[in-house]
Amino acid sequence: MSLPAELLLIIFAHITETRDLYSLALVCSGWHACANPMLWRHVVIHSARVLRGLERLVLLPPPLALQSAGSLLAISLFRRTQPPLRRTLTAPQPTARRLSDVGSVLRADVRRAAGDANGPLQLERSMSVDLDALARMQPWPPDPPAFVQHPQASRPVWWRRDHLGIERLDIATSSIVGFLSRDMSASITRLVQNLPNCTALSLPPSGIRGIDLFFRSPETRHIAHLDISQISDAKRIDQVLSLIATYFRQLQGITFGHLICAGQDERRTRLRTLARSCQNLQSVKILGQRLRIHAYTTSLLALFKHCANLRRVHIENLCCTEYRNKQLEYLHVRLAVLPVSWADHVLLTLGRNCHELRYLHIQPFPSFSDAGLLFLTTQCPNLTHLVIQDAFLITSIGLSSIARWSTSLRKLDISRCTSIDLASLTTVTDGPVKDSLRHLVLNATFRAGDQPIKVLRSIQQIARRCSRLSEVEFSLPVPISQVVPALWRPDPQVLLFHDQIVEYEAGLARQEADLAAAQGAPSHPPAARRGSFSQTLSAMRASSARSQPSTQRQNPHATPGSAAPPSEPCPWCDRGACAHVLLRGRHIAKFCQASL
Amino acid sequence: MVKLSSSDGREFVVAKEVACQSVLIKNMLEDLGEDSDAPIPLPNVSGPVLEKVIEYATHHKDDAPPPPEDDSKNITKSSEDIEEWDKEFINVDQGTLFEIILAANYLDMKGLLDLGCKTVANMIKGKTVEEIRKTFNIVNDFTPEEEEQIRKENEWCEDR
Repeated sequence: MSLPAELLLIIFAHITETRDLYSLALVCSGWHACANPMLWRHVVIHSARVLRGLERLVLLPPPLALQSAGSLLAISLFRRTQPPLRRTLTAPQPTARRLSDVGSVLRADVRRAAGDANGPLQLERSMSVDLDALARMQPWPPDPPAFVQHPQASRPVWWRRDHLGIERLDIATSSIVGFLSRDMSASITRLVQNLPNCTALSLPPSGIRGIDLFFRSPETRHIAHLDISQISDAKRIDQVLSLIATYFRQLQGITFGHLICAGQDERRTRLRTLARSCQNLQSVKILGQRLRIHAYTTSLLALFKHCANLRRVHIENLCCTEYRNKQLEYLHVRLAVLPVSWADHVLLTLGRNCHELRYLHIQPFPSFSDAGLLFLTTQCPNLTHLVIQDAFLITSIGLSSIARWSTSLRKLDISRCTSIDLASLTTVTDGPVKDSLRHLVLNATFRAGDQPIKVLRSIQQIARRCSRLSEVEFSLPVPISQVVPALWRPDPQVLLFHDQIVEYEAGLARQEADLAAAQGAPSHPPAARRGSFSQTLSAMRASSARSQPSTQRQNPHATPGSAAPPSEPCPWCDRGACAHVLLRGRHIAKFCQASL
Repeated sequence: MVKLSSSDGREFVVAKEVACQSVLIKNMLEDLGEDSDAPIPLPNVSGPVLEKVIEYATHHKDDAPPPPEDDSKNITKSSEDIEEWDKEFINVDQGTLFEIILAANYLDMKGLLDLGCKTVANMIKGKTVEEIRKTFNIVNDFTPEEEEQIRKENEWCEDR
């Protein structure tokens, strides 16, 4: 029994790992046809050798001997668009050279399909193709891919050319061998020129010479998102910034590395020029390194001041307090270095200027006060996503301003906002927000003195009032099983404690039991292995903690009790034994009904 | 109540809100009007599979409607994220699993289709090519040359 291609496509869409998609492409020809285009959408190149291989592959002209070149092109146009069954589609125009290679028949076919016989085909970046006309040319699904003898290749070539569908190309070479010559920039330029679908490119690290070649070429302008965060050479950054300002004015998104804040004065001028010339810029991402000295960078001011159309800003480990972009919808800031005190400056500037703001994630930012939050919520009524972790000055007054003014809020995360006392937590439901809230996160919001049962009762009260709540996440100062065994025991799915850990340990115990049964030896208690797992876990945490500022996590007073869920260090607080609870969908309904 | 008739002629009587989990049946009922008593024929779904599908629809009849598109974009699509009941429900042999997926696709039941597809995706993850072929009983129809050609083209996947 086999599944039709349309269902295979839905299944494969759940698979994201390159490794898995690659395996799928090798299973059989039918699966290859479905998986290979997905595999080729995002390509990461790790070495100069593979880059050259890819270049050869892309630049190989289509074989003249191919009889059905016209329909094949139509298929590849068809195939490259998602979803595949749209009535009309916008397909990239093949380069002039490739068109002339496949001959005049194809040109006429494509023009007919496009319904524009005399249009300036070679000048347009994209064209609209009428699928009805296309369907008359070639039935769907297309014939199986053909093997053809190519005059320039030593052996038959697999004529699929899924690689022309590359949408995102990351060149992540770690070695600098091969980057010392101008060949590398020439390769990248040629590749991008011949990949009409490729709109996102990540430039390799330093050492790449002659990169101006890439920017000067008029055929690389379809790149809309450029990632220059890997470049680790300050001089090169300056060069690239001015090249972008001169040639890449179409750019919609850009990703900077931490170097953007080094040498603030020179950088400020360059960023100002860039911001003024790239007026299409909508999305800026800045990936700072942890513990850079310049957490607050004045050079960014120039960038945000002059980008009129900026909508999305994502900053890691760097900061800027002035966001005056009227169109700003999305702001995500994460800092590794805590600024001493900026009071509510960020919130006030946002409230004054960015009335369109929908998504605000600022973490950790301890100095927000209730006044700032009140101002923000009244000025930005469209907020749907509000994450203000570690704001320990926020009290129930701030909560009630959220409840009153943020009428379309869907996600609220007030983790580690420890000034909110338990009794006033429910003020969050005293307003229209209770009808829109779907996701509530309260990790380590509670104080050590709070009685867990009272915490649960407050959360239950909130859950009962918020009719559309679909996910609640919180942590309790003690293992929950000690508090409400009745809630935990009969249905373990109601509460998920550090869920992966439970699952992992259950699996481990099962494996060991199986092993013991196979060997006829007495089984090891799972606790014997728990130590090593804890170690790997803390190693994992340590690596993930690089992005999280707060703390060093000590191994807790773990209680390898039998019925109690494992008490691993809580990723959200320093208290050690903490129950981390995640309630979803139906479990919320059960939780609401539970008598506490 | 709504009568459904499977491909092998078995008839099932289910509550309307259960049947209307299927967009296909919902649209049919709207077209037929309220007063029609005739069973709805489902020629692409066999009796045992329809039974499973009804079991799923009955369990999920009180579910909130799926969140609008702009919401789901933010949530990363995770195929690990399957509820316990659903996991137990879909723990069937492969033939049945595929039939459920086909039926869900035919009946236009997004939740069930997603569940089936996620389950199959989870069966694929982390497996080698040979293991995938064995799991799904697929014959390798590539010639050695073709296979080598694919490996050569997709060289970047293996290069680290």
